[in-house]
Amino acid sequence: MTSLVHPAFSPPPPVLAIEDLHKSFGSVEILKGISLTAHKHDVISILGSSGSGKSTLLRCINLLETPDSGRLTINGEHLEMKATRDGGLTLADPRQITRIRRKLAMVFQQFNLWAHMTVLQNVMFVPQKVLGLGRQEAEAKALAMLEKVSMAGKRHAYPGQLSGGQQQRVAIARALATDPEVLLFDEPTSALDPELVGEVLKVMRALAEDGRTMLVVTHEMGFAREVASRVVFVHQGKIEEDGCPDEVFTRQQSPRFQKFLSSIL
Amino acid sequence: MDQLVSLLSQSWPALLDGLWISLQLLLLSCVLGFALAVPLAVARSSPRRWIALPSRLFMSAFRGTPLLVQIFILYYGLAQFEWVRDSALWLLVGDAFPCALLALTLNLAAYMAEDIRGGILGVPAGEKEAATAFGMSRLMVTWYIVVPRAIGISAPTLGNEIVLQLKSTALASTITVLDLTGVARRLSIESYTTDALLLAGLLYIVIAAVLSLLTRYGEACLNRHQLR
Repeated sequence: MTSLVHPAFSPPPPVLAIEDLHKSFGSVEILKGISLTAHKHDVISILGSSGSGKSTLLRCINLLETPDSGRLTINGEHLEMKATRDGGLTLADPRQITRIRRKLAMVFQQFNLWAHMTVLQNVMFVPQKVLGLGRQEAEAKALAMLEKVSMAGKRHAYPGQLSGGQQQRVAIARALATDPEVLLFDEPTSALDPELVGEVLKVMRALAEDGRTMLVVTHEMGFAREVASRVVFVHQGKIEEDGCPDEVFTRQQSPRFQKFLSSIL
Repeated sequence: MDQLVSLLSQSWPALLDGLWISLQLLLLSCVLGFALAVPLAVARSSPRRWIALPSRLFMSAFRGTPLLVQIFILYYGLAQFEWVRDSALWLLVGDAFPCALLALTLNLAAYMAEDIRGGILGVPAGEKEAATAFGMSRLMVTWYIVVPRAIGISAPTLGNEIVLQLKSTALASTITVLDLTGVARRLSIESYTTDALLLAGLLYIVIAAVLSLLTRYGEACLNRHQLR
């Protein structure tokens, strides 16, 4: 089949493309062939009940877990994997893993800030030590990002002295300071007290408005409905629904998605 | 009491010399032992067996035998071999002081490595994972995240190790080192009393008290991130 669009007008290549991703832990197959593409400025909410594989999907994208099979393309760079003796895949080039990870930044459910470093040190560490910026440059960048999440005033505090919402905002600043192509959020508000969820969602909403490319695993339906440009529903390791929020939420094609929605609303 | 005072007024220069030797043994063995303990603990925690095994053997050898035996083997044992006496090693074990320092250092390194290993196990997995996810190499994760966190976590036990080490330095006197114990023993033999030993004991108590204050302060500095 030939494309109807003239090559010069074809849309830019996706920032992130996943094809037929499989992952098992032991005999349990968590991901059963997931394909997903994200273009620049996409905000994709990944929904699903616990155990559906949505977090594993995110962890496979930045290679905290090695997929069993599948293809991963990030910013046009194809991830080389080679088969191991037991049939799984391992990454051919360790330097490539690092290169790819530097294009992605993850925000974790449990924040995972480095407890022995101050807020400022946490945010400037990766730009300075991993990306090779000068100290002053890294510090300026870190401060700008902390400003963005309204945490610059706490730059000399340690993570242990902050509330969960504040820690998560610092974690978001840490991710932003690495100039990522794609921001990955792994249930960023699930570990927070209800009254602290709002401040984190507000920051994420602002990032979406800035045009950041984001993949957000979440249970926040409001965020998925209002902020996301696309909603993906994962059920038992497969994508069941995929579309723009209006479409997905109003049509609710699959009975499983209906059931999922009724269980959390 | 009068006896103690007169002993102190007569022999304080000798006791002070002994005290200085004891403190040198303590400080040097703590600094060197700690420096050795960090790589030992990191190696011991490696998932690769050929890296973990040598350090594991070292640690069980030095933690499994009495320090006194280690000192005797280094001082009397090694001297029996001609090739040792002809080698550069002789600079270390040919003299009593460096030999005692070597034994104390290696022994403390083994114990501290075990403490730090416990700290390494206590570093939250999420913090390591975050470092990995941001593109740090395994070496960077170890050096910038795991080791500083592990030292903070093991700080209380490391501090205790330092206070214990003070008393271990007394064993240096068994191979003719004139540390505080060595001097006190010589004085007590000369005077046919145990007064000098009593005096030495008092001095040890004072130093131990100072040490535990210092280690507590150091611990608070290392773990300032936990203070609210």
